Amino acid sequence: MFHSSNRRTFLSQSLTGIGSIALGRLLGAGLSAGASPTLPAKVKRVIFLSMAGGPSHLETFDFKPKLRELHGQPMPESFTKGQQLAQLQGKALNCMGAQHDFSRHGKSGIEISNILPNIAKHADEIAVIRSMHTKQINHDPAHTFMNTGSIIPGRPSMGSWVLYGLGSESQNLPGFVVLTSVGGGQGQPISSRQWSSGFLPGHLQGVEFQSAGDPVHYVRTPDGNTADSQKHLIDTVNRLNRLSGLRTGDPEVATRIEQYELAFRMQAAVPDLMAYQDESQATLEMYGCTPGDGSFASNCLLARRLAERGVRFIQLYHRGWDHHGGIRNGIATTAKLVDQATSALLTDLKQRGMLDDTLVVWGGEFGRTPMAQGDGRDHHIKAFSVFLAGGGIKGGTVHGETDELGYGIARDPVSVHDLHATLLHLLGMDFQRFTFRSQGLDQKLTGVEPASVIRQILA
Amino acid sequence: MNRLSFMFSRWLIAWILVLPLSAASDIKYGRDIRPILSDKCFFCHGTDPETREEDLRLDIREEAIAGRAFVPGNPEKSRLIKLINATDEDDIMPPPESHKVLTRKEKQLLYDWIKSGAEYELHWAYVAPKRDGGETIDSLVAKELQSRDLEISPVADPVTLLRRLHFDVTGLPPSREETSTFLQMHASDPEAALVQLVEKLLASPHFGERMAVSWLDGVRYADTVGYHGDKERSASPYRDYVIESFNSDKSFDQFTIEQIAGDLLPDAALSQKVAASYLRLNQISEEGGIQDAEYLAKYQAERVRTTSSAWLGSTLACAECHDHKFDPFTAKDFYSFAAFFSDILEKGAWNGDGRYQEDPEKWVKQGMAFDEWGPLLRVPTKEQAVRLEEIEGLIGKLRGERDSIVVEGVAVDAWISQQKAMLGDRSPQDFPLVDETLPEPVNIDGGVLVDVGGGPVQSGTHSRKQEGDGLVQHIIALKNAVAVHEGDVFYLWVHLDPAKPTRGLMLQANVAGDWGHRAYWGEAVIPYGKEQGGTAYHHAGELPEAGKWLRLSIPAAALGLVAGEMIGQIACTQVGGLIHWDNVGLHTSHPEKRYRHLSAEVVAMLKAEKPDVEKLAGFYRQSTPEWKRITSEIGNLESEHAALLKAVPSVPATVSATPRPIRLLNRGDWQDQTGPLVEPATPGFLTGSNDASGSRPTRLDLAKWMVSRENPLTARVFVNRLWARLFGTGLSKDTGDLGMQGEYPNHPELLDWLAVEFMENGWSVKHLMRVILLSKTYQQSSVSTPELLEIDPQNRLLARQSQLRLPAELIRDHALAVSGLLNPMIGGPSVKPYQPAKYYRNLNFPQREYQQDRGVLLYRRGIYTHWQRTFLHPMLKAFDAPAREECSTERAYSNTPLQALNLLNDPTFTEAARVMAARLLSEPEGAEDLVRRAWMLCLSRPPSAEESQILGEFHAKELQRLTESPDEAMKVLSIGEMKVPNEIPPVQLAAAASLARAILNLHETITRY
Repeated sequence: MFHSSNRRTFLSQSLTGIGSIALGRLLGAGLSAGASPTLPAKVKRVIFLSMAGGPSHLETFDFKPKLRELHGQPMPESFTKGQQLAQLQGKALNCMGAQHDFSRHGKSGIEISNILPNIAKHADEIAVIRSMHTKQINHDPAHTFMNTGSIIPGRPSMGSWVLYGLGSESQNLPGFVVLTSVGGGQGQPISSRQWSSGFLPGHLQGVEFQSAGDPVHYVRTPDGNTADSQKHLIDTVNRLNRLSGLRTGDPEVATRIEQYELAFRMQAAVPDLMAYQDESQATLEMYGCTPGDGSFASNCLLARRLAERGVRFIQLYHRGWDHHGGIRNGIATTAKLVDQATSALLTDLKQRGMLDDTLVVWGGEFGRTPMAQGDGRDHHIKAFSVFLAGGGIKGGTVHGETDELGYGIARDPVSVHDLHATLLHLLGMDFQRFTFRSQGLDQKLTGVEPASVIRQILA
Repeated sequence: MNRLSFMFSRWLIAWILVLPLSAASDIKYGRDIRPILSDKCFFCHGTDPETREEDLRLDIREEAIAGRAFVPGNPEKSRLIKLINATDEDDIMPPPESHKVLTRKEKQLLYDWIKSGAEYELHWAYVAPKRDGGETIDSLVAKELQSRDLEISPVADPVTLLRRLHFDVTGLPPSREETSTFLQMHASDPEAALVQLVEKLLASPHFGERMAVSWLDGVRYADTVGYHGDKERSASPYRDYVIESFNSDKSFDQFTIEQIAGDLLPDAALSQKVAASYLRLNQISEEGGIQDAEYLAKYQAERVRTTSSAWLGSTLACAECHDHKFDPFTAKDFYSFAAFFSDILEKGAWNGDGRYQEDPEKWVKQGMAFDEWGPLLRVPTKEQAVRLEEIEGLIGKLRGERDSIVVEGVAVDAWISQQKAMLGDRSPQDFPLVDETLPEPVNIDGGVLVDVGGGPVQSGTHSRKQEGDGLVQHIIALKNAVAVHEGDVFYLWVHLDPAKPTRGLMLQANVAGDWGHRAYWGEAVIPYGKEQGGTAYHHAGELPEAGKWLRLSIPAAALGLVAGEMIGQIACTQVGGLIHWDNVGLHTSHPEKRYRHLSAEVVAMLKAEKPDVEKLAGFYRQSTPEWKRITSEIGNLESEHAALLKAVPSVPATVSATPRPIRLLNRGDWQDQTGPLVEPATPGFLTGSNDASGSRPTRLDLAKWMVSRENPLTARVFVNRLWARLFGTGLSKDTGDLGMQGEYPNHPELLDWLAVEFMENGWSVKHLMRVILLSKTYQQSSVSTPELLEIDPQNRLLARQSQLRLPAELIRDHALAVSGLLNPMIGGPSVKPYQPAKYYRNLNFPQREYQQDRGVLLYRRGIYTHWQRTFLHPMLKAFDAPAREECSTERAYSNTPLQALNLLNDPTFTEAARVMAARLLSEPEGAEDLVRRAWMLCLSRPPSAEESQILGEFHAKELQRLTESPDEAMKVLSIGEMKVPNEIPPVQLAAAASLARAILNLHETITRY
């Protein structure tokens, strides 16, 4: 059952925000449970930096001296017996020490790999979780699990959940935007199911902004038409729609009219969004990119611009962390493409006073084995690292610990559901009550298994 | 906020707060009580022993009473009533941590129910449907309405009815001729006109296409494998089977049996085997590093989910990890259901690591084809089948002709002497590497062969043309690498065009991947190898004289080639101009090369003291022009056969092999092999024993059980979904779940009436459609009154029809149909219409560019659009078509700015507008009365005066704008591939296109009223 004032909030948000659904159907389609915040919100938006491919925790945020000692020696069988491996299944298992050195940073002295020198400067602002674990050992299902909390394809992604709960603040841009970049390693494919709205209404799906061509599909007025003629067309369509609405009494007409107006605003807003002339030289240098070049750095800059414009959930994929071989150089290359821009994003948000109400998450869909796969590492689901920064996050924190070889978790395991619960909590939503009725069940982002907010990393 | 929608949302809120439930006097367990218990209590006091608290079950009356939950007839003494009203946090039920709260109304219902005796009923959907005689759809709907002092709305106006029927039955709008014919008939005899229209539409071949849209969602039909690289996998014959089945009104029970077990039917027809490919349309993976067993477990679970959801409307999927929390499905039911499918020959990992459960050799020997996704069935079209058979006949005939070639003894002797002489000769000879007459033609990358008619030819029938302003290079890969011998000299024949001079030309040889063997003539303008110099950039001389064939030669040693090195590729390069190149080869005295046309065996025979003349005659026979001609013809036919076979659409084949053992997986964990083995069985509570014979039940048994009259679900699920499509909402709202967490139907009697009607009439889908379409309930107006909207915003009472936005495919079809672009062909491989560039850039393994189709294939119905699971066509996606990764039983009807952008700016729609404009202007009336005619074409009704005026003003303004900037008009006309007659003045055409664009964007255009 829902509370009527919450209901009203949701309806009005979904109407003034982007997109809507037939109202009669909205109620028929499962919105029987309550959305909208019930807790004090720490942040208004999320920028999720998905390091796709599975960054090695052992070369980024989780230094294991013992693994270096055992470099080249057989992995103790006590660790690996009966465990699921991906490509290493049935192969000889030897330890491989960290391929890069680590240093301690900030007052907190967090150990961070030397391949991430810029992120390291933010050591006292970030909370590193070294005890993440997941269920799926292959990219596609692992992303699905990280995004939806389920291994069954077709469930809503976290961005859609957040948009469902909070609506959009933007009057002319989608509330959930996805950006992708590639480089530094095998570019594993990414499916658009990763930003699907699943059983949630379609207007909550992520909208992928393209780095080439029109940033949003069909956002450009067709050749031979001008902004004025397009406006005139839309006005004409809306006037006619209003008339037919009177004839048919179809309540969808009002929404349709709004969506056409919104579409027109979007046609103007998107070019404005992509007009980087207003960025200072210093900003561009800080990110280290040519705006619009499709790089992760350019996407970070765009993420900030989207955040400024009220976009609720911004997810960046960088496809380049799948280092089965040549990890020493490979991961350094990928890190270089990501490190400076991530750091710039944090700095930029902070300078603009936006870091306080933004949650930034950095991490992949799984980690990598302490065992060598040639001169690389295989997929690993027993442990990996992510970091969070922004509003409500206790900077300079390290949460959780892996065993001495970085294989399993020694202390404070954190599941994907826990990460989701924390994310919702920071946005002001009680993850246990935040549900949507589908297939006869009150579905949750955090699923049916127990989950808990990671209190230790909260400020 | 828009005022209208604001008011509307206020209505809704008001309505929700006063939602009238049933009267307390008439409490039904299934409708009123069980939903409360199921939602609020069963999680801890229901079917699943793992989560059961205090060993108390409320789902079974006896146990609830034994557990002292309540005393029938005495609510005051019932513990349940005390606990739901408790104030202490430790006592209250449901407990606070469950976040479930009972409303006052629900508490009252529970109280009243216990007071009236706390009777239970079986769950409505688990009891076979039955009906009383004498009722009809309309009588049942009227009964419910009368009880609320309501009645159905008046019949819709004829144009609305016509369009509604068209969209619901064929999915295509009525043409102007169809509209006027219908209206005429309707004016004299409305009933007859409607009956005739319904019959005509049900008989249309487009009926199957319309029906297939939802069916394909349910069975997750798509053109790609879904996981990871999401490669293509042909399956279109399955889609066509579905269309054809609906068109031929195949009975739904047979339709079901064929899809679940078509391959197991005795003497199964090809179409029945195609039907069974349903079982292999699931997502599959070839990601590196995946494990066979894990993915087999995924596939088996998906089949259970999709089959139980698509046919049974059950959430059996929930029992994968634990017994179902709400329905009586056990985890054992889940795995027993999965065991039905364990005979399907397949692998889990399609990356090369997976294993079939049985050696596929057996089926290979039977002629079964296999590709990278396992066994497949080729399903040629009629034309393809005819041509294949024709080719096979011709090949047979040619082989016969060739076998009958006779050679004269004299000729054989002459040939033998000639060959012997050649063997004895030691002088060097030309050994062509590149020549069209070679028995093993080489692959020429980008080459253009010209024959004597098209340019100069030095020898044989063709030369190779290279032309360009800058650097032009053709790479020729030799089928077999050729060894270099001592003293070999390269020769090449070139003909330089005097009118188009060249600056330099180069010959390159590739040895074991190294291209560093080059000789060039003329200027040093070709960059390759220039830095290296030496034999990597040998200057062989000046350019030959233009205008005639000249032979250039250069010792192989000058290119740094050493005897014994193997040449794998040759490259011919030039900068600028036009050169015809003919044979390139080695001038060599090495004996083997000179008699390459003879096999070692023949050479040995020729050298023998007493040659075996009979055998040599056989070889001679094969060297005669007649033999070569026929052989080459056979070769051509064989290539055509192979190419045709490759183009023949296929489906993944369902092949029944030795069943894999299926275990109950504890908590769904595929690595846990400690669970018991299970045999195939249908869910225990839905049947008694379905196993009479004692042998292992098969998929055929499962299918027959699904469509048996005793199965309470299958017919109800189908009619409920059809109802949802025709009225907007199912009679039981959750069309994917008729289980205990589903909704108690608003019209339970009607749902059962329809299910029985369906089964009693031979599961005829057309009959079911006809009965619904001809009912008053269906034909009533969809225009609501404010009062009705307030009482019943979701139209559950059926006092009116519903207003439904068209599904994605139909929105496309409509624009194509009214413009005249629509290609009405039924079936065939999926097609690729316009799509934004780079949309697939996040795909990999392999990376790919979308290859848009050309010509008439651009204008096929939406149902034929290539269904890329990971990146569904943006238009389909924007209008809520599902990715079809899994079964989906219902589509959302969202209303978003992306849809507006799509209709406004997608070239599919702007082109349709342009072509529609040309269509109108090409008609005898020309530009006269254009607004009204365009409107009629799209909406089947004349515009009102006000509508005419608004649109007329817009058209006039566009005409003015485009007259002032005719360049813009040309740009409007350049969108899309379809050419339109160029007699129409561009400005006039472009302005009419704007007019058409406005109409195509109307809400009314994309809505079925």
